[in-house]
Amino acid sequence: MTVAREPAGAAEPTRLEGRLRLAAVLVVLGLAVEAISFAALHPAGFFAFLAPGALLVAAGIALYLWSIASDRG
Amino acid sequence: MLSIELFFAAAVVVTVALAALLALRPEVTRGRGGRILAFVVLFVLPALLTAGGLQAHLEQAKSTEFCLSCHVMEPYGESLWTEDPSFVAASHFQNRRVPREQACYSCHTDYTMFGDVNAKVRGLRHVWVQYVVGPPPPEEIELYSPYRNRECLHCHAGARAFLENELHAEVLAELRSEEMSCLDCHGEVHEVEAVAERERWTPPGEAGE
Repeated sequence: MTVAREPAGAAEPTRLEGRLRLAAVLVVLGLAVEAISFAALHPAGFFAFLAPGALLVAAGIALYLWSIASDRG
Repeated sequence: MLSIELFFAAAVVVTVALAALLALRPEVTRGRGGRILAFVVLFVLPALLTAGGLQAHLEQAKSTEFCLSCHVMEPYGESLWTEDPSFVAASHFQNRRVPREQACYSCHTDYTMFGDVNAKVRGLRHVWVQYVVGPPPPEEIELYSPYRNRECLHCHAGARAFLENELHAEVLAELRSEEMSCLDCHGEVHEVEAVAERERWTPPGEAGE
Protein backbone atom coordinates (compact mmCIF):
# COMPACT_ATOMS: atom_id res chain seq x y z
CA MET A 1 0.00 0.00 0.00
CA THR A 2 1.33 3.38 -0.90
CA VAL A 3 0.64 6.51 1.03
CA ALA A 4 0.19 9.74 -0.89
CA ARG A 5 2.73 12.26 0.30
CA GLU A 6 2.54 15.99 -0.02
CA PRO A 7 5.36 17.68 -1.89
CA ALA A 8 8.31 18.54 0.30
CA GLY A 9 7.82 21.88 2.02
CA ALA A 10 4.03 21.95 1.70
CA ALA A 11 3.15 20.48 5.10
CA GLU A 12 6.10 21.47 7.26
CA PRO A 13 6.26 25.20 7.85
CA THR A 14 9.59 26.78 7.06
CA ARG A 15 11.51 28.74 9.68
CA LEU A 16 10.14 31.99 8.19
CA GLU A 17 6.60 30.67 8.40
CA GLY A 18 7.15 29.64 11.97
CA ARG A 19 8.20 33.17 12.82
CA LEU A 20 5.28 34.64 10.91
CA ARG A 21 2.99 32.35 12.85
CA LEU A 22 4.43 33.61 16.13
CA ALA A 23 4.17 37.23 14.94
CA ALA A 24 0.53 36.65 14.02
CA VAL A 25 -0.18 35.14 17.44
CA LEU A 26 1.42 38.15 19.15
CA VAL A 27 -0.61 40.57 17.02
CA VAL A 28 -3.85 38.67 17.71
CA LEU A 29 -3.21 38.65 21.46
CA GLY A 30 -2.16 42.30 21.51
CA LEU A 31 -5.17 43.51 19.54
CA ALA A 32 -7.48 41.42 21.72
CA VAL A 33 -6.05 42.99 24.87
CA GLU A 34 -6.26 46.47 23.32
CA ALA A 35 -9.92 45.89 22.44
CA ILE A 36 -10.76 44.58 25.91
CA SER A 37 -9.00 47.54 27.55
CA PHE A 38 -11.79 49.83 26.28
CA ALA A 39 -14.27 48.05 28.52
CA ALA A 40 -12.88 49.89 31.56
CA LEU A 41 -13.07 53.68 31.75
CA HIS A 42 -10.26 53.70 34.28
CA PRO A 43 -6.49 54.23 34.34
CA ALA A 44 -6.10 50.45 34.62
CA GLY A 45 -7.73 50.17 31.17
CA PHE A 46 -5.24 52.65 29.77
CA PHE A 47 -2.34 50.72 31.24
CA ALA A 48 -3.73 47.43 29.96
CA PHE A 49 -3.80 49.01 26.51
CA LEU A 50 -0.17 50.09 26.74
CA ALA A 51 1.26 47.03 28.43
CA PRO A 52 0.56 44.25 27.56
CA GLY A 53 -1.64 45.33 24.60
CA ALA A 54 0.52 47.71 22.60
CA LEU A 55 3.72 45.90 23.66
CA LEU A 56 2.44 42.60 22.27
CA VAL A 57 1.43 44.26 19.00
CA ALA A 58 4.81 46.01 18.79
CA ALA A 59 6.60 42.72 19.44
CA GLY A 60 4.52 41.05 16.72
CA ILE A 61 5.29 43.80 14.22
CA ALA A 62 8.99 43.79 15.13
CA LEU A 63 9.17 40.00 14.78
CA TYR A 64 7.43 40.18 11.41
CA LEU A 65 9.77 42.87 10.10
CA TRP A 66 12.85 41.11 11.43
CA SER A 67 11.69 37.79 9.93
CA ILE A 68 11.26 39.13 6.42
CA ALA A 69 14.42 41.25 6.64
CA SER A 70 16.58 38.34 7.77
CA ASP A 71 15.05 35.73 5.46
CA ARG A 72 17.46 34.66 2.75
CA GLY A 73 14.89 33.02 0.59
CA MET B 1 -24.08 56.32 9.48
CA LEU B 2 -21.06 54.25 10.45
CA SER B 3 -19.51 55.66 13.62
CA ILE B 4 -15.75 55.80 14.06
CA GLU B 5 -15.97 53.42 17.03
CA LEU B 6 -17.86 50.86 14.96
CA PHE B 7 -15.37 51.24 12.13
CA PHE B 8 -12.45 50.62 14.49
CA ALA B 9 -14.19 47.67 16.11
CA ALA B 10 -14.84 46.15 12.68
CA ALA B 11 -11.22 46.79 11.66
CA VAL B 12 -9.98 45.07 14.81
CA VAL B 13 -12.21 42.04 14.20
CA VAL B 14 -11.09 41.75 10.57
CA THR B 15 -7.41 42.15 11.49
CA VAL B 16 -7.64 39.59 14.29
CA ALA B 17 -9.43 37.15 11.97
CA LEU B 18 -6.82 37.56 9.22
CA ALA B 19 -3.92 37.35 11.68
CA ALA B 20 -5.46 34.20 13.13
CA LEU B 21 -5.63 32.80 9.59
CA LEU B 22 -1.92 33.55 9.16
CA ALA B 23 -1.17 31.90 12.49
CA LEU B 24 -3.08 28.76 11.53
CA ARG B 25 -2.03 28.64 7.89
CA PRO B 26 1.33 30.45 7.55
CA GLU B 27 1.94 28.67 4.26
CA VAL B 28 -0.44 31.11 2.56
CA THR B 29 2.48 33.55 2.61
CA ARG B 30 4.30 31.47 0.01
CA GLY B 31 2.43 33.24 -2.77
CA ARG B 32 2.66 36.91 -3.67
CA GLY B 33 -0.88 37.60 -2.49
CA GLY B 34 -0.12 35.93 0.84
CA ARG B 35 2.97 38.04 1.35
CA ILE B 36 1.00 41.21 0.70
CA LEU B 37 -1.66 39.97 3.11
CA ALA B 38 0.99 39.36 5.78
CA PHE B 39 2.41 42.85 5.29
CA VAL B 40 -1.02 44.43 5.70
CA VAL B 41 -2.17 42.23 8.57
CA LEU B 42 1.07 42.02 10.54
CA PHE B 43 2.32 45.56 9.99
CA VAL B 44 -0.01 48.16 8.48
CA LEU B 45 -3.28 47.39 10.24
CA PRO B 46 -1.89 46.63 13.74
CA ALA B 47 0.20 49.83 13.65
CA LEU B 48 -2.76 51.95 12.53
CA LEU B 49 -5.17 50.35 15.00
CA THR B 50 -2.76 50.74 17.91
CA ALA B 51 -2.13 54.39 17.05
CA GLY B 52 -5.88 54.99 16.75
CA GLY B 53 -6.56 53.11 19.97
CA LEU B 54 -3.95 55.14 21.83
CA GLN B 55 -5.53 58.35 20.57
CA ALA B 56 -8.97 57.12 21.66
CA HIS B 57 -7.65 56.23 25.13
CA LEU B 58 -6.02 59.65 25.48
CA GLU B 59 -9.29 61.32 24.48
CA GLN B 60 -11.20 59.15 26.94
CA ALA B 61 -8.74 60.13 29.67
CA LYS B 62 -9.98 63.74 29.41
CA SER B 63 -13.42 62.79 30.71
CA THR B 64 -14.60 63.71 34.17
CA GLU B 65 -15.78 60.15 34.62
CA PHE B 66 -12.26 58.88 33.96
CA CYS B 67 -10.67 61.26 36.49
CA LEU B 68 -13.21 60.36 39.14
CA SER B 69 -12.86 56.62 38.53
CA CYS B 70 -10.09 56.53 41.13
CA HIS B 71 -11.48 56.26 44.65
CA VAL B 72 -9.14 58.95 45.97
CA MET B 73 -10.66 61.50 43.56
CA GLU B 74 -14.26 60.98 44.69
CA PRO B 75 -14.30 63.91 47.16
CA TYR B 76 -13.04 66.16 44.37
CA GLY B 77 -15.95 65.04 42.23
CA GLU B 78 -18.33 65.64 45.12
CA SER B 79 -16.90 69.15 45.59
CA LEU B 80 -18.24 70.06 42.13
CA TRP B 81 -21.76 69.85 43.57
CA THR B 82 -21.11 72.22 46.50
CA GLU B 83 -24.07 74.57 46.91
CA ASP B 84 -21.92 77.61 47.79
CA PRO B 85 -21.14 79.58 44.58
CA SER B 86 -17.95 81.01 46.08
CA PHE B 87 -16.30 77.64 45.48
CA VAL B 88 -14.55 78.13 42.17
CA ALA B 89 -14.65 74.52 40.95
CA ALA B 90 -18.33 74.07 41.84
CA SER B 91 -19.30 77.40 40.30
CA HIS B 92 -17.54 76.59 37.04
CA PHE B 93 -19.01 73.10 36.87
CA GLN B 94 -22.56 74.02 37.81
CA ASN B 95 -22.74 77.07 35.53
CA ARG B 96 -21.22 75.12 32.64
CA ARG B 97 -18.28 77.50 32.36
CA VAL B 98 -16.41 74.29 31.66
CA PRO B 99 -17.93 71.31 29.85
CA ARG B 100 -19.17 68.93 32.53
CA GLU B 101 -17.91 65.93 30.57
CA GLN B 102 -14.34 67.31 30.74
CA ALA B 103 -14.53 69.41 33.90
CA CYS B 104 -11.27 68.28 35.52
CA TYR B 105 -9.31 68.39 32.30
CA SER B 106 -10.58 71.87 31.32
CA CYS B 107 -9.00 73.48 34.37
CA HIS B 108 -6.08 71.14 34.98
CA THR B 109 -4.53 70.98 31.53
CA ASP B 110 -1.87 73.47 30.45
CA TYR B 111 -2.95 75.88 27.75
CA THR B 112 0.39 75.77 26.00
CA MET B 113 1.67 74.16 22.81
CA PHE B 114 2.45 70.89 24.59
CA GLY B 115 -0.22 71.27 27.27
CA ASP B 116 -1.99 68.07 26.31
CA VAL B 117 1.26 66.12 26.49
CA ASN B 118 2.12 67.66 29.87
CA ALA B 119 -1.34 66.76 31.16
CA LYS B 120 -0.88 63.16 30.03
CA VAL B 121 2.54 62.95 31.67
CA ARG B 122 1.00 64.20 34.90
CA GLY B 123 -1.75 61.64 34.45
CA LEU B 124 0.84 58.88 34.17
CA ARG B 125 2.43 60.20 37.33
CA HIS B 126 -0.97 59.99 39.03
CA VAL B 127 -1.23 56.36 38.00
CA TRP B 128 2.29 55.63 39.26
CA VAL B 129 1.37 57.12 42.62
CA GLN B 130 -1.95 55.27 42.66
CA TYR B 131 -0.55 51.81 41.96
CA VAL B 132 3.08 51.91 43.07
CA VAL B 133 3.67 54.55 45.74
CA GLY B 134 0.17 54.54 47.17
CA PRO B 135 -2.11 57.56 47.12
CA PRO B 136 -2.20 60.07 49.98
CA PRO B 137 -5.52 60.82 51.67
CA PRO B 138 -7.68 63.08 49.48
CA GLU B 139 -7.22 66.11 51.76
CA GLU B 140 -3.41 65.84 51.45
CA ILE B 141 -3.34 65.80 47.66
CA GLU B 142 -1.54 68.81 46.23
CA LEU B 143 -0.84 70.06 42.74
CA TYR B 144 2.66 69.24 41.47
CA SER B 145 3.22 72.95 40.89
CA PRO B 146 1.28 76.09 41.88
CA TYR B 147 -1.82 76.72 39.79
CA ARG B 148 -1.04 79.28 37.07
CA ASN B 149 -3.25 82.23 36.13
CA ARG B 150 -2.58 81.35 32.51
CA GLU B 151 -5.11 78.53 32.78
CA CYS B 152 -7.80 80.90 34.14
CA LEU B 153 -7.01 83.67 31.68
CA HIS B 154 -7.22 81.27 28.77
CA CYS B 155 -11.00 81.65 29.06
CA HIS B 156 -11.49 84.74 31.23
CA ALA B 157 -9.13 87.20 29.57
CA GLY B 158 -11.23 89.12 27.09
CA ALA B 159 -14.50 87.98 28.61
CA ARG B 160 -16.85 90.91 29.25
CA ALA B 161 -17.67 89.97 32.84
CA PHE B 162 -13.97 89.76 33.61
CA LEU B 163 -12.95 92.97 31.83
CA GLU B 164 -15.75 95.08 33.27
CA ASN B 165 -14.93 94.07 36.81
CA GLU B 166 -12.96 97.02 38.24
CA LEU B 167 -11.00 94.84 40.64
CA HIS B 168 -9.76 92.70 37.78
CA ALA B 169 -8.80 95.76 35.74
CA GLU B 170 -6.70 97.11 38.60
CA VAL B 171 -4.59 93.96 38.90
CA LEU B 172 -4.63 92.70 35.33
CA ALA B 173 -0.91 93.31 34.81
CA GLU B 174 -0.03 91.44 37.99
CA LEU B 175 -2.35 88.60 37.00
CA ARG B 176 -0.81 88.32 33.55
CA SER B 177 2.71 88.31 34.95
CA GLU B 178 1.74 85.75 37.62
CA GLU B 179 2.93 88.14 40.34
CA MET B 180 -0.50 87.78 41.82
CA SER B 181 -2.54 84.60 41.77
CA CYS B 182 -6.21 84.42 40.89
CA LEU B 183 -6.46 82.13 43.88
CA ASP B 184 -5.39 84.99 46.17
CA CYS B 185 -8.99 86.19 45.94
CA HIS B 186 -10.77 83.08 44.63
CA GLY B 187 -9.17 80.73 47.11
CA GLU B 188 -12.06 78.37 47.76
CA VAL B 189 -11.59 75.71 45.12
CA HIS B 190 -12.24 72.09 46.14
CA GLU B 191 -11.61 72.14 49.93
CA VAL B 192 -12.33 68.43 50.12
CA GLU B 193 -11.64 68.01 53.82
CA ALA B 194 -15.10 69.39 54.63
CA VAL B 195 -16.93 68.44 51.47
CA ALA B 196 -19.25 65.97 53.17
CA GLU B 197 -20.46 68.65 55.58
CA ARG B 198 -21.32 71.22 52.93
CA GLU B 199 -24.74 71.57 51.41
CA ARG B 200 -25.09 69.88 48.02
CA TRP B 201 -26.65 71.55 44.98
CA THR B 202 -29.43 69.61 43.37
CA PRO B 203 -30.44 70.79 39.90
CA PRO B 204 -34.12 71.79 39.78
CA GLY B 205 -36.20 68.89 38.58
CA GLU B 206 -33.84 66.32 40.09
CA ALA B 207 -34.87 66.81 43.72
CA GLY B 208 -36.08 63.60 45.27
CA GLU B 209 -34.69 61.39 42.50
